[in-house]
Amino acid sequence: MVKRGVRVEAKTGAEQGLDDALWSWFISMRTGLLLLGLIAGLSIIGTLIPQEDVGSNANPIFQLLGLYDMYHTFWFRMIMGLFCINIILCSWHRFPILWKNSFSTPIIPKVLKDFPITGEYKTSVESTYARGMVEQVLRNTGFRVQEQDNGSLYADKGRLAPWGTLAVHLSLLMIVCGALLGNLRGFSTTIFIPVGECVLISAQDYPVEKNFAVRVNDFKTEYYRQGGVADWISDVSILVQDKEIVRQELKVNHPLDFEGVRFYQSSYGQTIKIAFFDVKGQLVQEGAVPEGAGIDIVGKRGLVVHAVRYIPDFDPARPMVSKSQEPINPRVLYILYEQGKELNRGVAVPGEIIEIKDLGRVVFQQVIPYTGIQMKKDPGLPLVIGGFVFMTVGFFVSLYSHYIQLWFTFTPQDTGTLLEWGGKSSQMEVEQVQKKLAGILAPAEEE
Amino acid sequence: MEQWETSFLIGSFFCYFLASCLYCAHLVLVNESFGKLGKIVTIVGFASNTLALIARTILAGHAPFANMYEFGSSFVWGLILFYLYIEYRYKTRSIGVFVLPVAFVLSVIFAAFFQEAKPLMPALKSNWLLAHVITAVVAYGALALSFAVALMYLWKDSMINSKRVGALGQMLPALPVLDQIVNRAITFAMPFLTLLIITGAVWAEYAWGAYWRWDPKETWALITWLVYAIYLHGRVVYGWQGSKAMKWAIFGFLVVLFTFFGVNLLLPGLHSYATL
Repeated sequence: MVKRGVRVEAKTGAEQGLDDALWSWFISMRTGLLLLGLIAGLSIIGTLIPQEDVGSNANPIFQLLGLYDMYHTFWFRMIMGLFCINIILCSWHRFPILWKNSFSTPIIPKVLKDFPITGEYKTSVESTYARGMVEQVLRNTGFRVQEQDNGSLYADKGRLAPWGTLAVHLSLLMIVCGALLGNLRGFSTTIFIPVGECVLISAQDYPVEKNFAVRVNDFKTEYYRQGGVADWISDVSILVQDKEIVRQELKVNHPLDFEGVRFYQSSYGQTIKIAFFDVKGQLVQEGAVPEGAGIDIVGKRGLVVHAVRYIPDFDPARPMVSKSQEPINPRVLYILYEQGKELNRGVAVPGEIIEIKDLGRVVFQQVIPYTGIQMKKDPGLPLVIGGFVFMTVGFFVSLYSHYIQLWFTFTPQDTGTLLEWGGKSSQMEVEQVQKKLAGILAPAEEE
Repeated sequence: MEQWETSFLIGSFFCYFLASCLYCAHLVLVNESFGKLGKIVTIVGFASNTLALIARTILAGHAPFANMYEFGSSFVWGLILFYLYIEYRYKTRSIGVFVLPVAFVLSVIFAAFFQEAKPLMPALKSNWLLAHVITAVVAYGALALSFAVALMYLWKDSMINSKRVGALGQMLPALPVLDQIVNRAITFAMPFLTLLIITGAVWAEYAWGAYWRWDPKETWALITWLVYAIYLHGRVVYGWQGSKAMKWAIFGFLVVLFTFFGVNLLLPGLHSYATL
């Protein structure tokens, strides 16, 4: 393997054309390693610059280069593309040798002494007998042995190892392709559903095959006895044409699968139903907002009702903190704005009427828990998971077995046989193989 | 039970420290009996470490993998296990001089993150936790060993270069042996390092709804993997050996340490619960 790598790189210089130069650049493993280093370096930058929308704090140069969303930029994908091409070409280039080594007996080389593993041994026994001994011992230590026409022996072991290496490289391609497919064809979005309500997912708005609805029957937070959250659980049903098809508890680590779409327990909170009446008591507007959000009252001089927080168990001494999670003494903390200026703030019991002078009345009618469900479809996932499996198996095969090839010749001499051997190992642990060989041959001599 | 855990923890500290000193004395005074004693103390420390982990498992009601302290104790445990195997396999005690101090220093750092046993938070309640952390213990344990032995290689190499090998240098294994241990440890670790990322990704797919988000922890795990991938290519294709390979092995483990400590402390992300 050492020599193969070098041979490709040796073909540089002025004597070749641009096509050749480009080709040998693409096919070179050095290029592959350079790209690996480049991806590592860029990834470091990606962890130092936040990968999110930073709004007005953005550095214009970073913005221009796409550094706030680096992994989705054209140039990052281009580097990944080059990397894939390099892997394909490198594997393609090596494949014929791999095939030949695996499925045909390599012809005995003329000079055994040029191999990294080499040696000779003089034995007093006759050559056929010596060959039989060596063959026996090699077989016993797990080698595959083939006798060749000229009486020499070829033995190898761990032929799968280079296939494992190939599998690892191809698995990288599978993962990159799967990720790209997921990026281009998949979708992910979070829907917020108040308890008891139903949200229609239509094939018009989302890339799903047919219309269905998601209903949240219940949401609860479970606690450990010693404190701390044990689980967030949404009781969810999927309905098709008003018929319940699936019903499942959605928890962190327990997603729900429905026709290629996966649902995750993602967040939770409270929805606050707000109603606004004019001075005559006529209902003007009604709406629901999650905690921390506000509602614009139409036609009322920029009036905004902001539902800051829901406190299930209110304590006047510490108004911002709930005494417990149970709705014992519920309150809504609110702020009213008029054209950006704070008009009024306070705490209200759900249902309580808040009079706003000359403008109307606000009522926080009801507080309903909602659950945030992430909905996702990723057509690239099977390819990625397949890549993971392939990669794991490939790595164990490639690194936990050693590919060893050995050739033996037996030359009859006046007083016995001269045994010579040469070979190579995929691992750079030549000495060890040699030591093993000596160990193998010594007992053969004694018999 | 809590007192037991603390006592075992302190016991393993003390043993790893004492063993470091004994292995040192073994080399400096060129005296085999110190080495033998060092090995015994290491085994006692390892047993104490094991008992502390068992006590923590009983206290917390789950495998000791949920936070930096718990994982750290498991990681040092793995390192010592590998070391004892290497000492047995290569019949040399001199490597302990580098491994035990690494184990001691790591356990001191992890102890700084000590926190009471707690039940698991929802995101961690998964069978993947076990697979994920076991692969981490195996991979990081073997890589820590490769780091310690690579340091030893450079030390011996510098002694040879300055022609001051002496009796002390004679006690260290030959350079090719050290080189081989480092390479073995890294080739052994690599499939597990890969599994570490894969189990993390599959788990994230279940828990966070995406197998990969370029979260700082994920990204640095990938960087670590790339560093060792370059090492393997350098070794097999370009025939890296000796101090060049050793320096890369040392660099690799420094990246592991950054992935493990630095990311949690400096780069906030989804893995941040690990520092809690």
